[in-house]
Amino acid sequence: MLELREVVKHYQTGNEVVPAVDGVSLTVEPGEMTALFGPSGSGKTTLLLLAAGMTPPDSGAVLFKGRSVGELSARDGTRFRRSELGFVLQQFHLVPCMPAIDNAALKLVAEGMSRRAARKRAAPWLERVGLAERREHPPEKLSTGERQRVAIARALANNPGLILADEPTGNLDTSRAQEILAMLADISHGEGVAVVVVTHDHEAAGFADRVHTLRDGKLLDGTPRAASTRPVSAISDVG
Amino acid sequence: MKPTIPPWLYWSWLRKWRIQEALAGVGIATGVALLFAVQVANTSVIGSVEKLVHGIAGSSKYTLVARDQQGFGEGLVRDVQAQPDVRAAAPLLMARASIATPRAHTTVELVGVTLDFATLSGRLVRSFNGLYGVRLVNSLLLPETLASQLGVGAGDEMRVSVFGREVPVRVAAVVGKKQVGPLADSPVVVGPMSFVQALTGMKGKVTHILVAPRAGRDDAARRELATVAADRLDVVPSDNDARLVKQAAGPVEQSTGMFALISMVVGVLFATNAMLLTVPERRRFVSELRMQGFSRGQMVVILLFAALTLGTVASLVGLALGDQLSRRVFHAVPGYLSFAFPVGHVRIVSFRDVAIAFAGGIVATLAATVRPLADVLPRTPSDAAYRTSEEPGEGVPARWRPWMLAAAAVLIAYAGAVLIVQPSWTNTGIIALGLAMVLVLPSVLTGTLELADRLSLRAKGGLLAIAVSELRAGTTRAIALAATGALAVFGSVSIEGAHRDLLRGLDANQSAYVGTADVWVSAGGDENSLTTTPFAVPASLRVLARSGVVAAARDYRGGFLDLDGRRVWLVARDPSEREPIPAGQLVKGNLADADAALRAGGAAVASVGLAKHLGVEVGDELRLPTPSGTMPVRLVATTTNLGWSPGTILLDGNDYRRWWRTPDVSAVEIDLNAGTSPAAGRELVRSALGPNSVLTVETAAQRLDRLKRLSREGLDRLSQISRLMLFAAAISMAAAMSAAVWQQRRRLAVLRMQGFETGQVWRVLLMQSAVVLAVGALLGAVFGLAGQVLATRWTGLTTGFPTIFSPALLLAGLTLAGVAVIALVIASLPGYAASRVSPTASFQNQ
Repeated sequence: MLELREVVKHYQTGNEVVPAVDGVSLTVEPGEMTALFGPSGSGKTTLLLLAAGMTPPDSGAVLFKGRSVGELSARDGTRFRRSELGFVLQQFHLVPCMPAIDNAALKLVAEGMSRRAARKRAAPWLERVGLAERREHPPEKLSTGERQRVAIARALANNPGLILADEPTGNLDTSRAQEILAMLADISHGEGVAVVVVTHDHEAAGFADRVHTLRDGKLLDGTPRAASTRPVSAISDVG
Repeated sequence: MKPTIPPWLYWSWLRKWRIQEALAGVGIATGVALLFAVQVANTSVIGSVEKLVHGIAGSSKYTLVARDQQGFGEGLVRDVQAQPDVRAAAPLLMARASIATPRAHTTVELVGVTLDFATLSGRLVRSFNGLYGVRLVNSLLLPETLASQLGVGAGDEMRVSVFGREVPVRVAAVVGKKQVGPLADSPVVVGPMSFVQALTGMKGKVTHILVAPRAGRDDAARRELATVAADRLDVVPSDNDARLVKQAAGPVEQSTGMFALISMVVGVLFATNAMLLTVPERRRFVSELRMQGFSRGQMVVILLFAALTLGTVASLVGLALGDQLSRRVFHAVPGYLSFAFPVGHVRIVSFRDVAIAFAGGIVATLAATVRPLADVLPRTPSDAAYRTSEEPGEGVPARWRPWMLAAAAVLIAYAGAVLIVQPSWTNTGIIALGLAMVLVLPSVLTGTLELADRLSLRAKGGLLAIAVSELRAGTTRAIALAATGALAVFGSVSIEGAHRDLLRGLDANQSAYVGTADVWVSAGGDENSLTTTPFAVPASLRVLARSGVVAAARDYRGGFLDLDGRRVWLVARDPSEREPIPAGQLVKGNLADADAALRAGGAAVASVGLAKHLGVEVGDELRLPTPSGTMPVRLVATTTNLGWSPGTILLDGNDYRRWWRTPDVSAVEIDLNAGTSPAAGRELVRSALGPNSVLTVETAAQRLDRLKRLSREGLDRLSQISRLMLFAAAISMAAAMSAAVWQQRRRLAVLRMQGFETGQVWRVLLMQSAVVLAVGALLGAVFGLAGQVLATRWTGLTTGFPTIFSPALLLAGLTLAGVAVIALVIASLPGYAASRVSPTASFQNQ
C-alpha cells in the first residue's frame, strides 16, 4: 500500500545541509500497524510528511497504491489527503468549540457533503471509539484521551487507506496511551487500514506489527510482529 | 529591579509581536488625531478673533461701542478723554468690507485709526505708530497673509466695497509677523481715520472708543464712561468681541467636540482589540515572569512602562496625523461665524489642545492595557502560571449575560427618560445608548452564532459550522471587533442623522425666510447672508418699485445687537410683510396675536434660547439697548433661533427705523407681478440699478441656494468627523480582522491537512468576518437610529437651530453596508493569503 524507495530528504539550515531522511526504504501493508521510533531530530516527522505527500523527496520514490505521491500538485495533494489519509497528531488539532461529531465529520465536509449528512456518516466512527454519548460535547469539555479518540474518529470517517499518527500518545497518561494504541491496532486489523505511528512511546511496540528505528535519518532494521511481544525493556535502546 | 529591565523586556516583546503592537498604536493614533484636529480647528476659529481683538485693544480696558453700524459723532472722543479717570482714549471706525482683486475676493474688517492710537500699546498699535498707519494718504495697510490671498503688494490697486458702495484703493504697505505678530494672519485692513470715514460714507463718525483708565481707577472710569454713553452706546470690556465669538461658536464646538470624543472612544476600542489579539501571549509573558520571581509590583511597573511607551509613541503619531488633518480637512472657517465676526484663516495650536489629545492617547492606552494588568492580580505565581490558557468561548461568561442585558435595559430606559423628562441631558442619553449597545452585543452575537449553527445544518458544505466554531473559540476578539463596528456605525448614524435633521430644519427655515419675496436686493455677498449690512436705497430702485412690473417693494432692516453677552441677530420686516413671523419656527405664543402685536409696534419675538438666557417669558417685558436708548418691548412669542445660535429677535420695521434712527435698509424685498419670472425680474432690477451698482440682486431661489451652501459649510465638520470615524473604523476593523486571521494560520493549516481546499478555507474566513461585521454593523445601525433621535434633540437644544427629525434609514443601511463591504474587502486579502498556508504548519511545534 505505502512504499518508500530509497527516499532522501535534506533541509538547508544556513550554509549547512541537514539530512533529515537518508535513503529510507519502507513498506506498509493494509491491515498492518508500523511503529517508528527515534530520538528528536531523527527524521520521524519528515518521514511522515513524505508519506503524506506534503513534502517532495529530494530523491527516491514515495508510492501509495502504486501511485507516486512524491510530486503531487497542491490541488492533487489536497485531494489525496482528503480521500486516502487520516491523521492523528499529538495536539489533537480539533476545531475548538465544535461538537465532537462535527469534528469527526470534518473531512466529509471538506468533500462537499452537507453538515447533516456528514454528521450521520461520522456517527458510527464516534461510536466505534466509544464517544457516542458525548457526541455533542466540544473538545473543551472532553478529557485529553477523549479528544484523541475524536481525532481517531475523524481520521477514519472518510474510510482512508492509511492513517499517519505523529506522537498520538504524547499528551496522554499511560493507561490512556495504551487505550489509544490498542484502538489504533484494532482499527488497523479490523478495518484493513495501514497505520504508521511515529512515537517516543515504547509501549507502541507492544501493539505494532512492525517496529522500525530511525536514527540520523537512516532506518535501522525493522522488527517483525513477533518481536513486539518482547518486554518493553528489551527495546528500550531503540529510542 | 534595575531601570533598564522594563525597556529590555518590552523590546523583547516588541521583536516578537511588533505587528500587533503597531495595530494597537494605529488605533490610539487614530483617536488622538481626530480629537486633536477638531480641537485645533475649534481653537483656531476663536483664537483668530481673539488675536485680532487683543491686537487692536492694546492696553485699553474698556470700549465705548456704537449699537449700530452707523456709529456716533467723533466729538465724543474729546468728552471721553476729558474724564478724570481716563488715562488714554482712541477712536476707531470698524466696518465689515469686501475686497476684490482680479485674483480673489474676501471679507475683511476695515479699521480706521488716528494718532491717538499711539497712546495705547497693542500689537497693531505699535506698528501703526510712526512708520505706517495714520500718515498714509488714501491708501490701506494689509497683513501679509491677506495680501498673499488677494495677490496684491504695496502700490497695487484693489476694489473695496462697504455699505453698498465700491471704491478703488491702493495698498500702502504689506506688514508681516515682524511688525504685527500673529495679526499678520488676520483679516484686517487698516487706514487713516479720515480715509476710512470717506470710504464708508461715515464722515465725522466713529464706531468705537478704546479707553485705558488711570491705574486703580477702573470702576470709576467705567462709571464715567457710562455717563458719557448716556444709554446710547455700550460700555464693554475691550475683549468683548472675543467673548461674543466664544459664545457664538460654543454650541457648534460642543457638538463637534462631543462627536470627536465618540471618535476617540472608537480609537480606544480598536486599541483594545489589537491588545486582545495578543491576550494569551501577554498572559503567558506575565506568568513566565511571575514564575521567574518578578513580584506583582515589578510586573505592574513593566506593563505600565510598555503601555506608556506605546501610548507616547502612538499619541505623537496621532498628533502628527491630527496636524495634517487640521490643515487639509478641517481647515475651512465656519462661514456662519464670519457673518458677525472677523474670523481669520490663522491656524492656532494651543498647548491645551496638544495636552488634551496627548493625555487622551495615554489614557486610551492604559484603558486598553487593563486586561493584561488584571492578569498580574493572581495572588501566587503558580496561579498566574496555571491560569494562562484562555479557555475558548470564555470571553464573556454566560452567567454575566443576563446581568448585562438587565444593565442595558436600564440604560435604554434612562435614554428614553431623559429624552422625555430632561432633554438637556440627552447627550448623556447618547452615551447610555452606546454603552447599552455594547452590553447587548455578547448576547446578540451568541444568538446569531446559534442561528448560524442551525442554518449550517442546511447549508451544503458545512463551512459555516466551522466559521461559527472558530468565532466561538475567539469570542472575546469577536465581541471586541463587533463592538468597534457597532460603535462606529452607531456614532456615524447618530451624528450624520442628526446633522441631516439639522440641515433639513435649516433648509425649511431659510426657505421661509427668503420665500417672502421674488427678488432680493442686498449689499455684499456670503458675509452678509444674514442681511445685516445697511445701505441707502438707490433712487432708481424707488422708481422701479412704482413701475408696472413690480407688485411691491418692501424695506427690510436688520443688524446685530450685543445683548447680555450675545451678538443677537435682529430682523425687522416691513409692516406690509405678509408673514413677519415664520409660522414653522414658532415655539411658544399665538401666531396671529403675535403678528398683530408686532405690526402694532412695541413688541418683539425672541428665540427661545435667548429668552431663557434673558430670563423672560412670553408676555414679559424685554429691554432692548438701541441707539436711541433702552427701549422696553413686550415679548409676544418665541421661535427657534432661525439658524443663528446666539439668538434672534424679530421687530417691526417701523420700530427699528425709529429706534435706530436711520433711513438705510439692509435689503429690499421685491414682489413681481404675475407673468414676470423671477429671473426676468432680477434682470429688470439689475438694469434699473445700473452697471456701477455693487448691490447684490438675487432671486429667492438663488438666495436660498447660497444660504443652503453656507449652512452646509458651517456644519460640514460634523459630516467630516462622521466620515473619518467610519473610515477609521473600517480600516481598524479590517486591520484587526487581518491580524486575527493571521493568528489563525495554525488552525487553518489543520483544515488544509484534513483536505480542505484553499478556496474552502478562505470562505470559512470570509464567513467569520461577515458574521462579526453583520452583527456589529446591524446593531450599530439599529442603535444609531435611536441615537439619532437623541442626537437631533441634543444638537437642536445646544445650537438652538431648527431641526426636522426623519429616521435616517437609508443612511443607516448605506453605512452598515459601507463599513461591512470595506472591512470585508480589505480583510479578504490577508484571508486569502492565510488560506494558502501549508498543511505542514500543523506539524510544527508539536
